[in-house]
Amino acid sequence: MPKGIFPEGILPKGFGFWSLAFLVALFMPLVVGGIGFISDSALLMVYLGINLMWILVLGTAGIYSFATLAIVGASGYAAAYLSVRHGLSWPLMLVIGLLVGAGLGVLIAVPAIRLRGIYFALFTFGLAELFRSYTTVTDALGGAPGLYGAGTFVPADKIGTETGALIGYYGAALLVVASLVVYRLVDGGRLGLLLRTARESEPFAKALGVDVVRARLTVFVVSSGMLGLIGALQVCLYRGISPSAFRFDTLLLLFAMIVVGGLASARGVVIGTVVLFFISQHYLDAGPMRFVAAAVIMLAVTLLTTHGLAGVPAQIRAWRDRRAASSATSLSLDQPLHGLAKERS
Amino acid sequence: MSAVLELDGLCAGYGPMQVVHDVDLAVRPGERIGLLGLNGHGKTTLMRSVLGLVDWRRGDVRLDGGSLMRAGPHQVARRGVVLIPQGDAIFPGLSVRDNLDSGAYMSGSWRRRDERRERVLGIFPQLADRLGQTAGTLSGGERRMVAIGRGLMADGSVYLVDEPSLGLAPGLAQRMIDAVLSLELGAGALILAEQNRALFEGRVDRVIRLHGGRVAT
Amino acid sequence: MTIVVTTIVLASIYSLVAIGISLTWAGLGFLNLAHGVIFAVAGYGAWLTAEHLSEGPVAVILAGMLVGALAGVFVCVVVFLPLDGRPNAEIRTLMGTLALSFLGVNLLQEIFGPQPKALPSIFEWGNFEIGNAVVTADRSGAVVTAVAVLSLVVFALLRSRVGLGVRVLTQDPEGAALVGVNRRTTALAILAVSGALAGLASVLLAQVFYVSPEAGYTPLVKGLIVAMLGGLGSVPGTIAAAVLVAACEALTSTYLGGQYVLITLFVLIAVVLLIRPRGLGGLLETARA
Repeated sequence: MPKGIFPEGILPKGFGFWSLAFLVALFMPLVVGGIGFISDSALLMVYLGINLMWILVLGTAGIYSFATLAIVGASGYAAAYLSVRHGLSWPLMLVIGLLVGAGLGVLIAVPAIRLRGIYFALFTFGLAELFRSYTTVTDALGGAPGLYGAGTFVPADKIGTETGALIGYYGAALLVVASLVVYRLVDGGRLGLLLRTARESEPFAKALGVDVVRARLTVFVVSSGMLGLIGALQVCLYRGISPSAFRFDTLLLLFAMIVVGGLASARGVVIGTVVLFFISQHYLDAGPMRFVAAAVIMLAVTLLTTHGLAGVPAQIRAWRDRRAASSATSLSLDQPLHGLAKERS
Repeated sequence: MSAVLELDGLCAGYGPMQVVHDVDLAVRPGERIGLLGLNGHGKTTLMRSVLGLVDWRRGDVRLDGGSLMRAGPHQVARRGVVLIPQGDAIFPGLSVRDNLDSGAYMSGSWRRRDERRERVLGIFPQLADRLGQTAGTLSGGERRMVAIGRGLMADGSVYLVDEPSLGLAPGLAQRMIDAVLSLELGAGALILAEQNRALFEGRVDRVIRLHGGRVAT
Repeated sequence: MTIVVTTIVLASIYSLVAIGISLTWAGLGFLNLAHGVIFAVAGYGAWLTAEHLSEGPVAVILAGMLVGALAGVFVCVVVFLPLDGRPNAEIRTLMGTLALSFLGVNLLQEIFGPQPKALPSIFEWGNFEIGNAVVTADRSGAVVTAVAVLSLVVFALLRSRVGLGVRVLTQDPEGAALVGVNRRTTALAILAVSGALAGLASVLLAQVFYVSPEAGYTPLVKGLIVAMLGGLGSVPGTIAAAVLVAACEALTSTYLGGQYVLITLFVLIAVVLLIRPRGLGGLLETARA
């Protein structure tokens, strides 16, 4: 599968895609301009960063975690609280975000070992809701309106101007590059290889039991740290945070983005995130209907593709291979190569 | 006389592995067939492929002339093919009574399940006291009785029984074989798979040997 | 005493929601995350009936259950059946139900607006007292209806042919096929009943709260918690878990305050699952989990 940004010797198939993506990301906000568009683009970058880390957990490590927003939000709250109440500067905010994120990752990962996949997924689902209700009623954290007045890396005289928005955007974009690097290093590196092989071969996984567990936990903690960093950055961008950071709708939208893109490639994440972001932001006036559109796309992709949009080329190839094999030897396939017996294992 | 069950060039396997190779078999109405073969030589896969419980198959399987290749496993069961799988294929969390009754799930037998249950209890009287007991808590032999009993509850035409003696002491093993062979087939048929020929010697109409997934001559 | 009453009322309603989730998972192998939106849709069905047809209790309850059942069937037909047996089915079904939830909630918001709607009072008999607790009509009505319907469902599960088919499916899908159980039609039955139960819960809860597009989220979360604690697939386990969760909620509300309910619930889950990773059901029976 075409990987990420660093070619391994030969130019990978994705090179054209990524070059285009970088060029667009670099110049589009400058060309189009306008505070609205630029801040939207910054939010897109935030979502991209989150999703890249999310598929590291879901796809590479194979952990059914929905704790993404919970981690981003909680780290953001930590950074915001320390900044607003105790005047923490923005570089330290980012550091706090990273640490809180990683720390949360460790805490959440502990039940992951003990709980079966689906139970863990439910547990993480509930976390965001838990944080949301807690922050809404806790006055120290600003209650329902939230905390405001946090530090930022945008120079004070530029806040509220187009230049300021651009600085914010490029800060977010830089973080996305960092996320891409992390994704590439983990997924394409030793950890990713170990985890992928473990998923495909059970005897291998059993033989290296402890190593696989440790690998998954490492990936989880690393991605959580990054999510925390993104959470702190988001606080810098908006100068504050509120319980709406934990909204279930946002989680669903993010999930829809990675579903559409497919869980297994950075390219897919970019496609899915951009497509659905465009729909949800551009048609803001349409109200709930824009989420309906996103949901319909998500449903269609789920029903029609095996691994999301990014997996379509592979899916078409597999389908063509099956047809060729079947006509050559008149195979009688009662069900797509996964009979009742196999599916149950 | 036309065959009640016909296998025509049947090939079957799991994933990239082919287990059954070109099996031709015509089973006559009322016939009892002993299917002989060592472990791993395809007896189980052959039976499962009649039901469609394999990853892929080629060729044809016909019941009373009609092909079963397009039918899902539960449809094949509904058409009268009863598979009593290897090992203890029971529902461990349900009571013995529920396990037996499930064998009569298909509407025709359901209405007559009380009398069918009585018949099965006649063959395995030990189960009579255990009707309310959870099947998973029974002993090995009793679990086998429930598994076979469940198969006997159906009003099937073709019975495929996979190693009913597996893992049982000789006395119990013989009882299971006796129970299976005592089935009144009418125009149906029975295929009994075992590793040890002596278990059904002289009590079946034909013996088919399976070696490496092929019918050995 | 109030705590006991509250516990019983909550437990009845949570059982209604959780049993559907539990049976769907155990019988069909997927987690129906659209259960919350089914709950909400059924509430609107009942509301529409009250607005345009009749405010009578029977009509409203039946409308809620019928719409819930239809919504359940819809989820089955649109998500479960097309994906059954296909590659990657488990996660795709999860995603599909999430997509439907996403779609449904926003569609409801678009059609009915975010303003909550009220259902007419169904239970007209007066209040009575047990000890120092006042039991209002809606609460006693909720318990009576829930218990009655649940008993019917349990009876059907234990005695009817279809019920046996469902239970057999939760034990062993291959064995079920061997005895002739049609997984796909049984799926329709499971989802229809699960939807009807959610619909009833929706109507009962709407006696105290409101009908709104997002009304299904909390019951979904609570239902998932209860189903999880009960051991997915075990009916007695689910009911026991419902009582446990309800008691936790009632105690927390009374002594610590409503905002801590989710926190104590979380602690409860953590404790239970640490001791018994498969939930309470394992104590009472064995099922595929």
